Amino acid sequence: MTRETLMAYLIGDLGADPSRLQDDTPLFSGGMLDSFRMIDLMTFIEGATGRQMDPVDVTLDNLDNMTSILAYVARKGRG
Amino acid sequence: MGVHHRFLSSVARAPQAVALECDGANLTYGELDGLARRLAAAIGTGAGRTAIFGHRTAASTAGVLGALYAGTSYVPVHPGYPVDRAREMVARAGVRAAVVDDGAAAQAAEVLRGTATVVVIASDAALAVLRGAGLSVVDARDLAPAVSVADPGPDAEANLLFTSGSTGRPKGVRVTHGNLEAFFNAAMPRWDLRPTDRFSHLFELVFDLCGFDLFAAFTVGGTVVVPDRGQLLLPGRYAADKRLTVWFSVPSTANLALRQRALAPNALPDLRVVLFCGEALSVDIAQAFQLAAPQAVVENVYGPTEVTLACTGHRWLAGADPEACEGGVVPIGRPFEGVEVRVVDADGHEVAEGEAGELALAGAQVTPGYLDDAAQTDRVFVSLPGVSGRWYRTGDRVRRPVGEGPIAYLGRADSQVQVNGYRVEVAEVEGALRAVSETADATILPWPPGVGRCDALIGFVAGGEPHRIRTALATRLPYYMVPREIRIVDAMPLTTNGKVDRKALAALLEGKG
Repeated sequence: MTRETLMAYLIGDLGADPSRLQDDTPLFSGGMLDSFRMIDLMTFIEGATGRQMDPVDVTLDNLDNMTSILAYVARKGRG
Repeated sequence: MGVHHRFLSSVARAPQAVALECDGANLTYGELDGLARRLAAAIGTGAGRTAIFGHRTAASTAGVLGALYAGTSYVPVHPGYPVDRAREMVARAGVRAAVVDDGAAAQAAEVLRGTATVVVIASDAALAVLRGAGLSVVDARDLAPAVSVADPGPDAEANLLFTSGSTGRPKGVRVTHGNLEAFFNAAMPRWDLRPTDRFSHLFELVFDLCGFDLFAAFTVGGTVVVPDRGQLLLPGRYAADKRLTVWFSVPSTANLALRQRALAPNALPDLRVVLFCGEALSVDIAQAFQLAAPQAVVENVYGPTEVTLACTGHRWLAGADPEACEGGVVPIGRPFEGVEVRVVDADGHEVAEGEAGELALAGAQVTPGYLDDAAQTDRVFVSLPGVSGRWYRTGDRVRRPVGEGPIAYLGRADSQVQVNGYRVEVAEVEGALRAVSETADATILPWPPGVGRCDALIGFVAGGEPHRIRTALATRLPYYMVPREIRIVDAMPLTTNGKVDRKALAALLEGKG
């Protein structure tokens, strides 16, 4: 997953505000996206990594901004 | 008596017990009582109403108690409400005082500007924001705790709760101390609640169900465990990490936990009591939650704000139940002690056993009606043919059980919908959408379709710019009523009868995949 594909997904599919979306913008804790969008994001991440997210990985540390999402995907990504 | 005396009994019994866990700090019953008494002194003894700006903080919780100690009714104002809506509520309620926590200070400053409201605070941060706004601010920390506490009668108002109104004007539901006492007296024996219990606090103060979070815990001397922002986003993790023993939420919150994979079997072994209310409970959520919390009694409870918190309940019995659940929805069960139910047709006549009709409720939990709206009150608080009593027509469609079976919930008779548990009149949102888009063609579709509930609202308008429309709506409506998405259509699809073709609009959404 590249930064560009993630950004396009967050804006185009989840409705993130393009004028405020930075690498470190808090997506959920900052209120830009509601909690049900986190479920959609999980599905998107699972499509990229090819495996189900472990319940212990479903945290704001992994999901709350673009930097941490990309780092998580890189860690869990296909070999 | 008065609902706050439930708290005072626990203060007398165990002042060192923890009443509130909030922001990593513990507040004992004695400490919370002390803060509430200072706030009561600042509010001043006498009838009237006190607004509460803020939620899920020590100041706002003590504010609720302090307002009641002083003899006032409390009116919660949601921190997310647009200024105009909050200002209208405060004006209609005629509040004489307002308790403001740190998070809501900026909002309160704007809403209360130019009013004579006594603004009560108990922190330096709130003081700084509100003093700057030219309001008359009283710092409760400067005052001695109030010695005496109000002893209101059953007809005295305890709180005033605003709900969405189909005409575009929020309805103020007046709840009395007698209504709340009737609820707690009927409901508490259903569950074996204890001083060692740790209660969830997932409901916001503006929600009547929040009354259970606070006063059920306070009745037994238990602890209210306040979630932080991150925990609200991950409610299953909140329950596990905080070792909650009592969970109370709308089913949507449980659905979120389920879809976040937080409801693995035995993931929540500490839970003893699990209650759902506020919208239709689907069988899959009840099943998943029971598996995650195998020790817990799981109950679906039901009740509109107009009939104080909850008035019917159905205990989920794993394995035995799914086939008894019409439409995949757990029944709302049988009435609580002292609640009368009747399933009626349009004329108010009882339908036959096994037939569908509108649920009507009577008993001591039925509230006096809406604030300054006799016409709306008379429309839904009615007498029924052939039976005595004052009945509330809920607008909920149910199936009258055969014999002593549980009442099945079938959905709404009108356009009211629960958006993630928030009660919303679709007509109110459509009215606002028409106004801001300056077009006559505006339709709201709850999405995805379900029995009286949805995750989000999607707006359709014939023309305009989506971002501008959403921004304009956010200045008029609480955030949970603002459509998640605005779709622009060339023209609104119509059925052969000339009505908006909602199925065609739904097909547009499905097409997106």
